[in-house]
Amino acid sequence: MKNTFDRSKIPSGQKPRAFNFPEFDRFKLKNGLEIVFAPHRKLPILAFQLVIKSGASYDPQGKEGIASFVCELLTEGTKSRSSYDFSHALEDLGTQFSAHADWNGSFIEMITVKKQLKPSMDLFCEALFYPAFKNEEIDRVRKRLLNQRIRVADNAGSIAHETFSRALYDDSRYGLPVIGVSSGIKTFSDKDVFSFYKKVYQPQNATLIIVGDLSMAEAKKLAEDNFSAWENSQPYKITEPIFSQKEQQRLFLIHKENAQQAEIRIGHLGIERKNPDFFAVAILNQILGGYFLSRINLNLREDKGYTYGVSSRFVARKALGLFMINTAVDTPNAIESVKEIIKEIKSMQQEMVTDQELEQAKGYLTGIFPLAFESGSQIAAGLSNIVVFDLEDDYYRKYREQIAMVTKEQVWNAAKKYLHPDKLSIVVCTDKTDVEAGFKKEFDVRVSEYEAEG
Amino acid sequence: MNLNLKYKEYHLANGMRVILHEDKSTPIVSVNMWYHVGSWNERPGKTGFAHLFEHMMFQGSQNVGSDMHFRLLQSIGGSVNGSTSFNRTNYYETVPSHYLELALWLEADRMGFLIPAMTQAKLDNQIDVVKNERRQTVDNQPYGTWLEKMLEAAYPADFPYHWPIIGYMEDIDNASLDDVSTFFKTYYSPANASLCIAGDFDEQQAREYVEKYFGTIEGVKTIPPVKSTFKGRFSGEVREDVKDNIQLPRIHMAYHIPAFGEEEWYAADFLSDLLSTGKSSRLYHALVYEQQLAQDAYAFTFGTEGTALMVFVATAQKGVAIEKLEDALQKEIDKIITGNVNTSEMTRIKNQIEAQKLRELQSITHIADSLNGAAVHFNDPGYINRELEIYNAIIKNDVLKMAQKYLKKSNRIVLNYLPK
Repeated sequence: MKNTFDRSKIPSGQKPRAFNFPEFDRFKLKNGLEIVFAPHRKLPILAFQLVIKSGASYDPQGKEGIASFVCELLTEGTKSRSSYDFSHALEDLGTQFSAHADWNGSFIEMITVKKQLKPSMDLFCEALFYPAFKNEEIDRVRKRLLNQRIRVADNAGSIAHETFSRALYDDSRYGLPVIGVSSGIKTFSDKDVFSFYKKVYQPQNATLIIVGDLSMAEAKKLAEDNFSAWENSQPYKITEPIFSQKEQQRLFLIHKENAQQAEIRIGHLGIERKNPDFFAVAILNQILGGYFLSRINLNLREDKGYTYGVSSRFVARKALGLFMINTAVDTPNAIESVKEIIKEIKSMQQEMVTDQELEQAKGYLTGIFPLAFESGSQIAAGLSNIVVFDLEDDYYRKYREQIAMVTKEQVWNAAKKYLHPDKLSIVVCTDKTDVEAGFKKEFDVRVSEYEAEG
Repeated sequence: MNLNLKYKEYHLANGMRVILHEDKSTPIVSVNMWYHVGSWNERPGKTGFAHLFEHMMFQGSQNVGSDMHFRLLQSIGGSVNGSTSFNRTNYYETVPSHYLELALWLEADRMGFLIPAMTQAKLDNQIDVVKNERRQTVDNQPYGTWLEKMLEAAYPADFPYHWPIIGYMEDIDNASLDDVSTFFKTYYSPANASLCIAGDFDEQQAREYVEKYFGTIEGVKTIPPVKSTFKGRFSGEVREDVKDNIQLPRIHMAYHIPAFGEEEWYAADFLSDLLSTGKSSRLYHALVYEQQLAQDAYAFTFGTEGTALMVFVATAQKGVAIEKLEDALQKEIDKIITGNVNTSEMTRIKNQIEAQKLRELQSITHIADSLNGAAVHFNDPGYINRELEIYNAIIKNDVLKMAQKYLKKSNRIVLNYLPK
């Protein structure tokens, strides 16, 4: 085979074409509903997201999971249409409609082809303004969720994950799953559903995001025609909970008989979304465990073969979010894996990252930008972040500059400030038979068995 | 709606197919490579090798250092992956468009010059990684073994769909460097490859890059065909119970159907949508919503060459006997067989398929993969434009005929997973 050129020479990039997050418009209706609109005219598709700025964090005590439950019920029928008729009407149009809650908000989403915009929008509003919340549907959804809760016991990853949240946040709302647990779900009544809906589903607590093949004038008319009649109820104050780090490192070993692998979660409390060191933390995380090139992945997977994948993330929330490393390893290597992960966390604090690590991480976070905002739905998700966390309107347009400015010193400082290897909560879910003694030699271990919810 | 994706297609002298699809709306480009090789090219005792080999393709090649593939692509913000299926293996990188040349250089180096970079240490490492992939996705998942048990029951021991794509642990363990070389020489030749470039690029420049990096790569011209023919349809119902670490029982039912691309395969695929897509679908509405027997219920088809399967899955709610769930599922299948399909349902499914296709066009990565899929499976990238017409042309009678012919008990495998 002959080559007429030198294949060992790595081709360099050409001049990049300019790209940025789209400019968008904001306007308000008289009832206080805010509209955020970005045109995206490549295809005749429209993406909508109604953000209700109250999610699972605002579930009343004893009713944990109600925000999520309300979302489930928004797709289960209206005052004039049964659950089946409602889904039928939407699905006849080929329209996707869904609702879900997370810690930061409740989200009603729709993607429709442009030619079905009018009937789709009518159904969206019918679900939002005239939900039926029938007892029959409440019981159905409850039954489905209770079955879902029972099944957590099947899955070592889910068990590890829920144990980890609990270890960090104890009895506070963040300590329980978004959908709640069986004991609470069993108590949900139509009264609970109506009262949560009435309290938080109001225009002054909401933003409608519209992205797609429309002009500004069309978007404005659409919003006015469909959302002007929506009325406010009582305003209410939102206070974010306060959490504190654990005092010492603890390891929770959850026994699952015959488990074929060890599911591991390691971490501690992280940062709030509005933390001024957000960009330094983003790079810190990237280098530690944010992508394939990260230290923990190259060590545990590409060097040692302990796992198919390992990653870290700082999950930012309005209140203090979490820092978590997530992996599954073959059980005989579980102890060694935990030790290696802790070693890598410590290494971030011991010395500065290398120039190469910094440049690669920056290259990734800035280079991925056009891929991350290719579709209307991706742009809507970006706008949703701006809305939910109350970020600056030019947040994404300046994102790459912000990333580029981060220095090695700032990453090091962030590592010292936001990583706490001596305060880690470590969760390992596996068959304890061959590892319990080994873990006990090295760690402060609490052994337990997961009990399935009934 | 008419789908009319424009593309250009040509072949290099070495046999490699090239497909170009320009779309400058976002400054990104997707480089997508399909090799027409998958787990069906394996033999018993060497299962999982096509997939393990896919992992080795990321371990560097003659001019690409051991971790340089990921390093070069991720440090420019590229999205990188590969996957192995029954009949094909794909590799792709979607990158900012000014790095097209880099992506092509990387793909070419591993197509032409992989073997000099292969070492026992790399292979041992990836064997461990893949065994952990298997533990994570199969052995330590509830119901995780269902598919391999289904394939084992559906096909004879030497038929190439008898084993799982990821392979059996002991076969993965036994893979050797010789296997890597042989597999590479046999299947990873330009004549067995299809390259699609989609997104923001200049056509003339792309053609020059492709010629420069791939044009001089040589390889075998003839790929050994898979000769097995499946003769096991309608050979009697096979039933098996499996005890697993699960809370809720689950039924898996698979019917033998014609191969991916056959008219009857499309009818089966259409029927799967009718049964499963959305809350107004048959199975959800009857089993989950009305009768409240199932936690979930759906159907789907495998798009395999030669012969295929249509699969039904239903998970029982707590306290529901699996026999009761099976009866209810059977009733829904019987309704189809006895002609109870209405026109409005047909229209709904067509609207859903059309909207789905339109949503998929939002992703250049998806478009590149679809063009290659059409090229490799049907020898025609333009097939993706025709596929929507095929679905649109399906009438009630097509679905009925398919159901009556294939959804017979004598043509199925029933695999029930029960709590230990």
